[in-house]
Amino acid sequence: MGKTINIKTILLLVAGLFSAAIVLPLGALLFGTISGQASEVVNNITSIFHGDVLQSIGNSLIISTAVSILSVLLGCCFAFLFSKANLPFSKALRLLLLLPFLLPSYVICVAWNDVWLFADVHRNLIYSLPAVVFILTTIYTPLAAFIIQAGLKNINAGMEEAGMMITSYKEVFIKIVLPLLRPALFSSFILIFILSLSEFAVPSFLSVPVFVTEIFTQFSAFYNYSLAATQSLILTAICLLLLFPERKFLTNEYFFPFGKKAFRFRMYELRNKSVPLVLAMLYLFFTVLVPVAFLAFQTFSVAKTSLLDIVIMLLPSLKDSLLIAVAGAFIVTLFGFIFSWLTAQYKLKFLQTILLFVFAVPAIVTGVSLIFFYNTPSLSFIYSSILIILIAFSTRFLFIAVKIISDNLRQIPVSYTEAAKMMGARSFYIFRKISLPLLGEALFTSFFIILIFCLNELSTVIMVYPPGTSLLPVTIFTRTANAPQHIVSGMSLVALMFTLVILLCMLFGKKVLFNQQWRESR
Amino acid sequence: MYAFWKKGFIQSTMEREPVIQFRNCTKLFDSKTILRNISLEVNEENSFTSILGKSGSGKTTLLRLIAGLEKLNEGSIHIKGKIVSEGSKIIVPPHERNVGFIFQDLALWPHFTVYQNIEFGLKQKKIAGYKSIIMQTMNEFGITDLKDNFTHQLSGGQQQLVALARSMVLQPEILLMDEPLANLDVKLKTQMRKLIKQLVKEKKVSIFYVTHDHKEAMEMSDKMIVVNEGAITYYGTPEQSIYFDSTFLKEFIEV
Repeated sequence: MGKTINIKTILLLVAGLFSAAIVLPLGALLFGTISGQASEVVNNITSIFHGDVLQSIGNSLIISTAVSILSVLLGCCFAFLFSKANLPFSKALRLLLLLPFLLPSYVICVAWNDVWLFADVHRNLIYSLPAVVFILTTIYTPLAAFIIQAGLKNINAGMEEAGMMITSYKEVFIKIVLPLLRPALFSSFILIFILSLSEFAVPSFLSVPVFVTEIFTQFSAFYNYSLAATQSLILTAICLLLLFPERKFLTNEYFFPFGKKAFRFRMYELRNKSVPLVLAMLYLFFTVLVPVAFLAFQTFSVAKTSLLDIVIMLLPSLKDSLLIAVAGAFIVTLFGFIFSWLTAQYKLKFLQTILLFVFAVPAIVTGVSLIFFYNTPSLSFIYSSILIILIAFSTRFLFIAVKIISDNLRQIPVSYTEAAKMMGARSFYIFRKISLPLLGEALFTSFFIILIFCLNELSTVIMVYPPGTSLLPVTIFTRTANAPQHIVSGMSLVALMFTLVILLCMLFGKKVLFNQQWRESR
Repeated sequence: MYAFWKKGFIQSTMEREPVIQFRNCTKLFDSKTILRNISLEVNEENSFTSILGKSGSGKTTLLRLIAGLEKLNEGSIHIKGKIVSEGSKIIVPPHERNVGFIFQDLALWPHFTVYQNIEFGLKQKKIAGYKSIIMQTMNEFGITDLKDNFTHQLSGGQQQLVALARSMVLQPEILLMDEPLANLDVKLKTQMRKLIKQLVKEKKVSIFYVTHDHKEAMEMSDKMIVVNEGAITYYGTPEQSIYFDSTFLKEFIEV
């Protein structure tokens, strides 16, 4: 009994310290802003009503609203087609759809830039608000599809079948399926709204002023830290207010359970498969394959360009990025497991809610808060080392790791561990022999997903990376301003291939390590 | 009738230590009372006792308290005269109570083969020559051919046998069963009931069997415990239950 208390205490202590490292900077930012001189605080707040700032806020809201609506609508269609209807090749199409979400947003931006320049689209159209909306919609549609698909999978076939005994499937879909799907629809809408509101790379690349770029400019160009901090808090407040009503759904619903079929699931039989199949393939062709193809085309269009030269040029960044991302993914997954385990074991659900709110804080605000908190004499050892990047990764992605792991931890029946306990197995032995093998796939997936996110993270990293560290997203982003188009495309292609290689490693690893028959039966 | 039942109850108590004894036990979940101040002695060794009641009446909680998987709020539990739980303390941990548990979902570990599932407990208890014990047990339960199979490759009946073998290989004095036959068809249920009854005779084990099916309880039990809204309404033989003066019991067993 004593041992259990010790393990619990140690884990709670570790989780507490870790939480402090990621939550305290945000608290310090809030405290620092409101505890300043009253006149300065008022000036900073009223500054948002100035012409340029107001326009950037307007742009941010227009982009977020449009992207959220379009992504949810498209995501809903794809979720239905790829997971609920008997569409051929749905597994491959689902994977292809996911690609833009897993690729760095600046890579997708560069790719679309290549397409539009080649098609001779007018510059006013390329560097415009609709262009940002279009690119962000292609990036966030997979996220909406993913969440809605999880919602669809949670609907018991019995509910639909009871309705089908009375009316047509169309009516059942409108009156039963859609209302049951409402939490998933709202959650994906709000999540995408928040993510697109805090998107930095795409509007910045296309020179569209948004609130996030305004904060970045105040911080890094005008060195007006207090204004940047106040604006950051306003942005954070918007995000948290939006998230608040949906917090329970986002923390409690299953988004990432592997294998286990909680309910009997009803597939919809398509009468005509060819039309939706062609439409889905056309969408994926134009939004995924065309930009990637143009990226390659642009790179090799200049005869003297060699992809090898670009790889050699990016080698230090690739090496640094990979090492730091691997360390980040490992730490985030490890703490993701600790938090999930504590949540499940001791019913500490509030931990997940805190992490959700931290996740909702815009990346640029995270960057600002980390600088405010860690750029002090006593904590400069963190600020001047890669530790600051690892903390930034944890702040950004811990919620995702916890969600992946806890969704799967909750699927392991309590009776499995109780049966082992009845036979005298100790806690650690039960963990090693029962829980870990059943959780292995979730930990593996969490590691690779977080690895991809860490590799592609730009918004926070661009603000906190210490001197002497060369990171791939930062290198590519900073060179876009002065390097020739084909070099930028080449660098983006390398980043894309790098992400794809990791994605393939994950898929291959899963196939080799987790191909046991019993997993499929769960 | 009640006096008669009580007399027999006291007589048998005097002879030997009760198999299970609940003394003023109360169990709450959050603030809801699941079991209210229950006291009970089960004296007959190697007998089959059904715990009967409606859904949510507290029967599974009763079983989990015996196993030590739940803590009491008040009272104490004794197994063969030894205090195992008292107040909110677990005095004897589950694995030291010499009690087996068959869960409703059977809890067969999906990543282990049949052999590994049975082996797990013996390895934990560091029993010498456990390999031959496993083979002997598998032979007794007729599952030797299935030893390398994963549990998902087994039929419902075979899974029941493996779960039984996994518990019985550790030679428990008490076997707790939480509606283990609930998901089987009628034919399999009948076969399994026979097997369980046979177990009581051959292996000398006291079985506590949770069910909501009164017919099953009447047919299989030596004694019945009827639980209603957290209290024990009846404890006695199935035959006597028909004459017991309780409206709830009469309605429940459809007299």
